[in-house]
Amino acid sequence: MTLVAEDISCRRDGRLVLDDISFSLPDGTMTALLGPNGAGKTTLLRVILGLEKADGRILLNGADLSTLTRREVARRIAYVPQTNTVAFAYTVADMVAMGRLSHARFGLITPADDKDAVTGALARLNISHLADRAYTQLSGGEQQAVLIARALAQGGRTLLLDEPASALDFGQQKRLWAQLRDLAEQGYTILCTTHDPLRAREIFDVALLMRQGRLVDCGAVGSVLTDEGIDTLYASAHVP
Amino acid sequence: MKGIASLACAFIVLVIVAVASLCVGRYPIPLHDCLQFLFSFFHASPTPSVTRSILLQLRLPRLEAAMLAGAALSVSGASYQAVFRNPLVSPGILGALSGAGFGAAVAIVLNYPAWMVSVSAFTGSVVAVLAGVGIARLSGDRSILMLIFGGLVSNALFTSLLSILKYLADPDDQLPDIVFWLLGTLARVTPETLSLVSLPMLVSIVLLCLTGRLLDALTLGDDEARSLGVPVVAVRSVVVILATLLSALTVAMAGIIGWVGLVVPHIARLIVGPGNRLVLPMSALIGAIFLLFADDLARCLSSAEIPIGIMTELSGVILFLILLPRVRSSLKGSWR
Repeated sequence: MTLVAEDISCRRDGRLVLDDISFSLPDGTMTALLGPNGAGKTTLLRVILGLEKADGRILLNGADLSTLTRREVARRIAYVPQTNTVAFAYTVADMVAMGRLSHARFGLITPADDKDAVTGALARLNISHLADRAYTQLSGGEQQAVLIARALAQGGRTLLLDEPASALDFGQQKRLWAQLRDLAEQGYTILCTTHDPLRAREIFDVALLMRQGRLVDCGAVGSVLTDEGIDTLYASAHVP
Repeated sequence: MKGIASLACAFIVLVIVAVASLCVGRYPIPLHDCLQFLFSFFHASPTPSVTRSILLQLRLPRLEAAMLAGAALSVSGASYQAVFRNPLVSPGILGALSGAGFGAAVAIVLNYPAWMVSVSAFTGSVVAVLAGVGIARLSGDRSILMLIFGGLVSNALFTSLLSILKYLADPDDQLPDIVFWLLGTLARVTPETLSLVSLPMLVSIVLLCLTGRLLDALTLGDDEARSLGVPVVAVRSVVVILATLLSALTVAMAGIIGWVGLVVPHIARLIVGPGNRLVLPMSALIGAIFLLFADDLARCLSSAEIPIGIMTELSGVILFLILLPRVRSSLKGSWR
């Protein structure tokens, strides 16, 4: 399964926020999306998910995502938000079960394999013991693991993560990256925004560098995330 | 399984409270006579004619009205709380109650008959919600925040229009009618009104109870719900329409009955947890029990009937204060 973006451009209030972006991510790769604040990283994730309209095409395994329904997209691509404020104290099992909504008929009738998918996702993230705990009372690292488990329960093989490590301490970050690495080894395609190019150099396979809505560089982390490349990416953002 | 058992228990309590409600009142009816009357539906058995006519013409319609109104307001409140991602929201947030008050006051000032007051209240309620949604749409933004803003403006508009009508109304005749109507009562519910509103209310309650899992996703926020495959705008529109229909029909039938839609969903969450798949049916059952209980108090506490709106607000406040520590701990870490 390959995630391909072709000539993606997006305007917001008349301003070009994504400018002609194209890339291709083979399955099983762990890709870091880097760039200064306002570069368009989150917007790119939103466009891939179909949450924001844009020109161009997003293809997943050859299928144009714009031709699929929202439920069909949700079964192929899962989104792990940066932080989420939950108004009600759902249990961890309930949160992960929400990942199965795209498999339910009219959102109402639960398929028979739902329970297996939920317990399987919890087990893969080693959080089965948290199943009956309230999501709102977990630590940041545990919450992030629950959101990844929910993404796995959706059943797709492509995960988009928006700065998943931003609210985590060092130990939690280490566990998160190990979990993501493990998933990539199992064939999951992972696209993840991050503000930590040095860590990205150690963990990720591929890096996409964005600045002012444009993709400025793309390739294996060793060749793209050089000291000079990192300096250029972040320093130039402050030049008027 | 625990959730299903809780629902079954609540249903049994509802049946017990319903039978007890048939017995109590200014003309007490022995339990034996009540049961005999109820079983006479299945096979002929002699029931004293006075008892029979009281039960058939007064208490049964009232029982049905109380259960329907309680269930409707509670399910409506729980749905609104999920859609607005806020556990402190009640069915009046989009202007349904202030619109209904204005609609009823218009009919009273124009000296229309009682059934027109109900129709006008229903119309006012729907118009106020449409105005709220319309004002939100003017901004071109479909976010929850703009919807709340629209409801705020609509509420203020129809409350001020109601105040104008109160000011203009005849203080000896019409003004007391308006005030009494606004306090809410089940005394004026007729079998004809019930036959009109029962089916749409029941259908709306059942449909909303089926949307529980989708509502859970909506409480996570629009983008997250969309990424889980939920058609957010469609689901939110359907839920708001059904919840508004429930509030509007209840207000048209019985006037403004406050606090039920706010308090009951919290009690339901304390029993079955926050998942709306169980919260909505549990709210329906507890709402029906709560309003039956409030109506029994309204009928029995004094020689003149106390408006039920006063009873629900009083008992709702007391209940909420008792439950506050548990509600607080159940919301801990979630809504701030």
